[in-house]
Amino acid sequence: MRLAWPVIIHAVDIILITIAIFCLLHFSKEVDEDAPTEWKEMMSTNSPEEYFEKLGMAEKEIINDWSQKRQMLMQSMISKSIEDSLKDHSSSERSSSSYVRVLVKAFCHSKYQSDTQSNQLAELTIWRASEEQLHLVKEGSVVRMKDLGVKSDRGGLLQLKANPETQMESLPSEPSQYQLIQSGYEERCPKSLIRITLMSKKLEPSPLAREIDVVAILVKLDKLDDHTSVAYLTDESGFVLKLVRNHGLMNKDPFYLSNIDTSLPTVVAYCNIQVASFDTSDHFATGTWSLSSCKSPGRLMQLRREELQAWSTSSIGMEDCRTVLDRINAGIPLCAGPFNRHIVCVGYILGLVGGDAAKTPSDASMNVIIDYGEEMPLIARLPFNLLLKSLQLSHSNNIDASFSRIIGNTLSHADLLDVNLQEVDQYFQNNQTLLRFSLETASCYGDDLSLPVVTGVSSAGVDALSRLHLMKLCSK
Amino acid sequence: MSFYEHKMCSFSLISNNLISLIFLVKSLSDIFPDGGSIPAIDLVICKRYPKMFREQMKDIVTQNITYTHLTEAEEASRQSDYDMNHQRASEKYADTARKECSEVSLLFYLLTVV
Repeated sequence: MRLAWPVIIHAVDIILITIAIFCLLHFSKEVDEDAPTEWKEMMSTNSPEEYFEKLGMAEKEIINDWSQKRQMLMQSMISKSIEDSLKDHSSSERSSSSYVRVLVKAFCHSKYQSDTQSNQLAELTIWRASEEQLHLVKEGSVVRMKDLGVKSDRGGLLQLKANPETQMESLPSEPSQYQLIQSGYEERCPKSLIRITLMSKKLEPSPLAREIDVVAILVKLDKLDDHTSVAYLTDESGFVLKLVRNHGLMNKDPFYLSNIDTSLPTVVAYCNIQVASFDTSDHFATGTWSLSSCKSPGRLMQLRREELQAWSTSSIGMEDCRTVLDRINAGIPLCAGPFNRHIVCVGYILGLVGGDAAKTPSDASMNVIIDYGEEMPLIARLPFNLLLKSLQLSHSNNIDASFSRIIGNTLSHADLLDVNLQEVDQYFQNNQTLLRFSLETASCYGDDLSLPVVTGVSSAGVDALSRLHLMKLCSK
Repeated sequence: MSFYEHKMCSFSLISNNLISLIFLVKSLSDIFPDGGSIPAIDLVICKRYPKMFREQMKDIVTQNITYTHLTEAEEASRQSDYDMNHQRASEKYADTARKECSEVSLLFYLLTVV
């Protein structure tokens, strides 16, 4: 009995040949039920070969035909059986379709037609785009499309859809730059860090308006956990963009530096980054890496890249980048000042004064006196949870045995009225630790200046602070 | 191609272009979400996003379908994971079949010997 092995042999499933042999015993019986009588009689004899030789031409032809048909039937039955068995074995079926999203505007043919309606934007999704379609659909090109599907209106943006069968062709004459501008086309342009910081402070409601391209200098990379990485970007302005990316466990190069050992700082260019709300604690503009975000193609924004590359390798650029890195490490933002509602203060806790009773421990707070190097100390309201954090940050293993007692006392008096202030003050003075406080002052009118509220406490980066201080002295 | 055929071809080409010009939609504001497909429109490509994939996972037991949007790299990694799992399942199934097969042949051998 011969088998057409190529039907069964598959690159992945060579082992399944064994199953095929096993199945043959079962399927041959099933297939032979429909066999012609000549075949059945031949197979019932002791010597089928001799029986076949004695047959006439017509009978031989019947047997040959059936033999071929039989092979095909058996092959299909075996393949189906293997497929079914594998299907039963797996719990889910996977399939995927590729697509390309494109933002489009209607092309303005007329010289004089430039009403606002003609600049309406739509989102076109091309499912399983062919190579030809991909070649035509380039930013800044005009394409005539026929039989384009219309989906529902999503978030005020008209949704169009195309498939590989959708006819696409370029226009007979090349559109002029003027016509493209008339149609509302704007070439991709990287946003400066100043602009991004402003956008981050005053967020646009539409995700499309929050989408930016950026060319900047990457000064620091941080890995928060296995799935989250952060890149700190800056430019000549000294402002910082904190770019966060959530990625897979296996992704070792989330910001496309191609070589993990790339020496920082380095110039990077990214497209379609989503600007997120300003981080008031760290005082950075923040951006998130979305599914559409990508490393910018080589030719795009090349001029700005070269400009920034030249600046970053100049002595001023290198010094500025180092200062920005020190500021990031020290947690001192560039834009904090006396008129800012959100400020940062680095200093020592001198003590606590009084406390506010509250309904819940989370609302309770105390006034803290901070020595931050100026003539008068700073008094701010310190919430209960941050008091505990300050105690923990000031904790030094080799000095204090009273730490757990004080923490225990503070915890057991969550309303703060019965906390032994003298004991806590003494503790802070014995364990002098340089802390970084994020403060927020509530908006107020007239002369009623409210106390700033501490919104975050962390250890101050002493090395970075010292370097910053030294650089300040040198520049003077 | 005869002269007549050539003329007919040119005519059909002209008429196709003419039809698309007649039905050429000039503005996106003329399009309604439920108004059917657009016969012809000239579009300026303002922004093109990277190629993406929509993954469809169908639970064979519950028949539930879940969709996930993936980047090209993620798609490649998911497909290779899926293929690997599929291969493992095939190997497991083949092992079982091989075992059964050897049991059957042993039984057959015993019967013939007896």
